[in-house]
Amino acid sequence: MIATHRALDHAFRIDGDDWGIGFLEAIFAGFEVTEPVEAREVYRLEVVSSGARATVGTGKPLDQSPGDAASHLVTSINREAMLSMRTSSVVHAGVVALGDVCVVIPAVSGSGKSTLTAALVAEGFSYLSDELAPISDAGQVVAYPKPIVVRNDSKSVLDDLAHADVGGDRFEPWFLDAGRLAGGRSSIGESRQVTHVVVPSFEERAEIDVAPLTPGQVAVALMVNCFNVARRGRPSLESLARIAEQCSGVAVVHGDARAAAREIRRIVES
Amino acid sequence: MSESRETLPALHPDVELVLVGDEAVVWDSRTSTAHLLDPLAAALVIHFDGVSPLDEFIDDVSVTWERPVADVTAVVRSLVDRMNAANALSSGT
Repeated sequence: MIATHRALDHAFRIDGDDWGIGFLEAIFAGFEVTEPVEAREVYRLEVVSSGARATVGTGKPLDQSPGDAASHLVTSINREAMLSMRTSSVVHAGVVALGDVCVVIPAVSGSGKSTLTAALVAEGFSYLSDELAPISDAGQVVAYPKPIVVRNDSKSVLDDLAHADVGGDRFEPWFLDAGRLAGGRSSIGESRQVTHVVVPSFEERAEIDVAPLTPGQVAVALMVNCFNVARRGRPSLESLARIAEQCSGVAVVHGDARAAAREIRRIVES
Repeated sequence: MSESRETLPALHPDVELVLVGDEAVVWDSRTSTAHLLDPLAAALVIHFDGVSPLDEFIDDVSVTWERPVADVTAVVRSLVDRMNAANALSSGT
């Protein structure tokens, strides 16, 4: 029997053929629930003649390429995971830790956030998340360490990390298991106090440029990348403002995620 | 008939003002956008109540900051223009 899994507070089951179940089990390895809990949704992935089929619950099946079908399900699970966090502000961000330092990297999709997160884990930071950062009103961020998704255009800078890919050959992106990288992965649900916020910006061939951020700038970066401000309203805004006041913030412009990761490590250790 | 006195503007009901240290963030829930105000602007905008007379406010700030009324007026007008451009004020202000 396939175990129930839990992404943050979203309990779900996975289903499908051997390939589909194998992929989803690899992506959500360690997210199995041991205690009895009712799954709120079933995610099904299977091979069909035209590619792969993704089905969420009793919804309409979507036939796509294997990569798109799998991404559709992972995105659906992430969305429900985000919605399950009713008392936290869920920020679109990478999160890594080093000793007592916990770095949140808020950024929009396509900004190189996951690439930088992977580079930081290769640089020795422990991995907490590459996408969702649920931050409590007390400033504690909860680990959601599913594999780091590395797109094709970032593979060249991370080619020495290919051994950590658990997605398999059917997929263009890598799904890196941070447990196989230098810094390792934090325990699921582990919480850390946010100490640093790094706002990254990738520019082709740019030299590294680090600029300190004011608390207000940090707050803006957290707020505009927060998924659930609209639902939580003022408590979320106030919470993110207090976190911004209490941590250090820098903007990092770079053209090389590996060099940026080394620089960020130097900054947080100084 | 006496001319009504100009009052300070008020924030739009869908806009939240959040203080962050001595700065402030104006959050527009209609568009999920944020506008950062520096300490000077933050110190002014917290008084935007929609009812206080503008000239009295400027006089008070002028005394507190020890700056000429003309300078304070320019700063306040500029801030109101910025907030209007961001659709952050109630209509009619």
